[in-house]
Amino acid sequence: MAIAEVNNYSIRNGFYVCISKQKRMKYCILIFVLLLSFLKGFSQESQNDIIANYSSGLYTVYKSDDKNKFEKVSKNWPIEISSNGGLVNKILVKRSGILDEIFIPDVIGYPSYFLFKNFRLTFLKEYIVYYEWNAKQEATAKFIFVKEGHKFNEEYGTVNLTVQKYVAATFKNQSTAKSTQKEELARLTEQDRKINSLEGKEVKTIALKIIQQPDQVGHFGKAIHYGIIATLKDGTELKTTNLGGKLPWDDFELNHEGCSNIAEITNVENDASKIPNDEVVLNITSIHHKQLKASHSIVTTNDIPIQVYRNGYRGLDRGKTEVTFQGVDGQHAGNGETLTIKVVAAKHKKTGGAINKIEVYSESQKQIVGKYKLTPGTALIVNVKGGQGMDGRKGWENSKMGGKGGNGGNGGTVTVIKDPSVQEFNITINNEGGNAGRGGPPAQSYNSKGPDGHQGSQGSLHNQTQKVSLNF
Amino acid sequence: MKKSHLLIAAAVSALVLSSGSATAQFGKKLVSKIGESKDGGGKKSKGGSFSSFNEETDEMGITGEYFALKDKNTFGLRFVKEEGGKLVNKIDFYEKKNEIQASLTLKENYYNKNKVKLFYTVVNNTYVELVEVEPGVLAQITSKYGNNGNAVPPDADRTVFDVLAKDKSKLSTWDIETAKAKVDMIMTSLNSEKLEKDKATLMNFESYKNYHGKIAFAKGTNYFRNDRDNEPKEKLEWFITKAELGNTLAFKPYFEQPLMISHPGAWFNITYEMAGEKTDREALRKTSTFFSSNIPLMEKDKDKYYFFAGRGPIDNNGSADYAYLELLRKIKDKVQEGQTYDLVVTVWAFKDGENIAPVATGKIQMEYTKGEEGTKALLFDPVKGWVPKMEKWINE
Repeated sequence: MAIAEVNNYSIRNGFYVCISKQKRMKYCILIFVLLLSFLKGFSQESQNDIIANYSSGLYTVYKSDDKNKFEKVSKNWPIEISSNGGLVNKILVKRSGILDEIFIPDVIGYPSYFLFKNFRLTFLKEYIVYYEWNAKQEATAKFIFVKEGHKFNEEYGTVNLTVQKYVAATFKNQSTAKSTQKEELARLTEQDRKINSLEGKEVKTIALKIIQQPDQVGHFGKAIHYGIIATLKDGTELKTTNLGGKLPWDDFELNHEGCSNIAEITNVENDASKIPNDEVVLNITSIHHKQLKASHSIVTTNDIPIQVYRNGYRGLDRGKTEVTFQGVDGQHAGNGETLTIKVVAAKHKKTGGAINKIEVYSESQKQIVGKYKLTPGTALIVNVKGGQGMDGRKGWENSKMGGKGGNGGNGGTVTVIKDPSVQEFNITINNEGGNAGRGGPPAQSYNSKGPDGHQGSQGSLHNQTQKVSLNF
Repeated sequence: MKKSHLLIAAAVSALVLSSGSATAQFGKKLVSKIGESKDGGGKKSKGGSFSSFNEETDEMGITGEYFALKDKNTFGLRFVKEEGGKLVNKIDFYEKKNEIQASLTLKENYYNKNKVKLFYTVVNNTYVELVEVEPGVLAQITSKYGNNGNAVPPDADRTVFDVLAKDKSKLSTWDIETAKAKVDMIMTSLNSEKLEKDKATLMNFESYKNYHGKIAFAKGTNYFRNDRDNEPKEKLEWFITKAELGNTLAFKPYFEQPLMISHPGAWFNITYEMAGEKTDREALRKTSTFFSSNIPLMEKDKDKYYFFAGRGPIDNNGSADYAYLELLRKIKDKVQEGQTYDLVVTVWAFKDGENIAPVATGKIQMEYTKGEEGTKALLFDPVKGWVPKMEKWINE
């Protein structure tokens, strides 16, 4: 196609517009003939055509050595060519006469090579190449097979290039054969889907089957694994793949509550406001039978410890948050964030047990960064440490000392506001100042190292008790 | 072991290991050494006859006098089961009578389970193996693979550099190529068994057990931990099924079989789908020289049951997969604040310019979050946003 386009372009922009009307026809015919012969020269025979010149039997073998030269192997190897309906479907190479290697065509009907493990076999006019193929579309010849009594004198590089060119050109001609293969595959896939789908079938019930339910159900917990079983009116059960069947997940609409809306695996929401009833509910509806629905609820246990990370950035990462000039001095680190944590006691809506509703607001970011529900004894670990200062760099040739170490960030300020209703709240605050960056070494040994930065200061914690109202 | 054998082993191994000018320099010596060895130079054995070894018997059938295919000298090999009251299962290799040149240890596991007789040692930093290809015939092998004092694994590259036989006439049958073919056959069989064993081991890890054939997602690549091969220690509670659109995200595919087994000759490709759009790494590679040089081919881990390291569509270290960013660019006008969208990631077996079969698939919900630091900023900030960055790269 590319060649045709190029030649058409030449015709349009070359002579066609310049010559007289009388001569146009002659030139057209001449160019058409030339074009045909040109294209014929580039036409690519498939392996089926080339193999017609070969037959099963013993072949002389040349092996590529470490110096990229071909060396004749002492024994001839048997090669058997098998066909079905005029198409080659199998090549047996009896490696060294003892090891059976069965090569199969890449595309039946129009093969460009035959494959065995990582090895490929391509028949060229004069010889057969046994080679490896890499992702860069490069061939590395391992063996050459020639008919007994025939000579082989090609260079290693020439062989690799020849096979590459042949294969690349043949790929382009495989489109029809490949699309036939794809159509067949799509037909089989659709056939398989219809057999296993609820579409057009009389279905009695659909049900959710929990495959794996963690002991602790809450924010940041392990996933819940589930499948679907559909029972047909004749009693046949169809199951999703994770239950050993082939029932397509696309047959169902998912509308889960309190957890992610994903087939097979779901996690509890990390935002407590999205779990209003302290339970997750898996809801499915059959797409082909809208009246068929199933649901399964799992009560949250709210007992998985939560870590909140609002630490200051490292000096090394300062450039990611703001524009910086980087000389020999290390960058200063960021401070831990300033947080306000509100807590109010509540009752679990399903079990009636005590829980705390917790909201974490970042004054630094001016936004809520967490909404959780935890049992009173479950730990909330808040990390607002100062970042680590960046180490100073080696001094320049003309400077007296190495670069200064960056300062460590200060620990964050945390204000905990507890509603009087809160009886117990298990909170740990990590708000240490960040370590100082070390001074950089001097360029010359007789100069001094740069000064270390300053350690960040410890953050502060303020506890308050006052009325708290959280709407989740 | 015969010096010339050791030199050949060392030379072959060094040639494989080295490259460039060093190889060229060393190559000359190698050529002359192999040349000497090939025609034998008419040298007579310095070690003399080991025919007396043929009078001994052992349970392995190893002990005896051996002739070499390339080296014209004879050697004595003696299997030793016990020594000093200890079980040793080794071959003592004699070049001269009463002088052990090297001792090679039996890989007991292969023998006990598969009756494969493989003996190995390291001589002058060169790994050397003897593998029985037929009773009374041993292939002499070296490998560039680091072995840590153990036998190299079955799937390691092996070079047969000589063949030893008790019966000299066998050497006309067992040339180097035939011995190599037989060794490959033995190793393929051992490797299949190793892979089955590896899979059984992996099923003891909850990540692999629950996710084989699937993709697990986490907030960052640091959640996917592998200290050693076949030990995916990541915990299920680190996996997520919902994430913030535009924020860091990592995934790891777990395969039913290594790609080299399930799809020989193929390599990996990844596609991303969301909001009716789909992007493909290999397809994107072909769109410009910029992407062609910046999207590497995925040829690693073809022998593994999973990607050894997690992949970050948007990694914690600030890097990203261009194909994922292209997806974000394509969906920019389709996504809205407060909505969630399913992201489908598929790892494919890719060959000859086509995705031939999916080898792992995963789905995660992506939420378009609100707030100043939410999805809008992550995607569209004129400096840091992924979409403006991708638009710039597309126009490179």
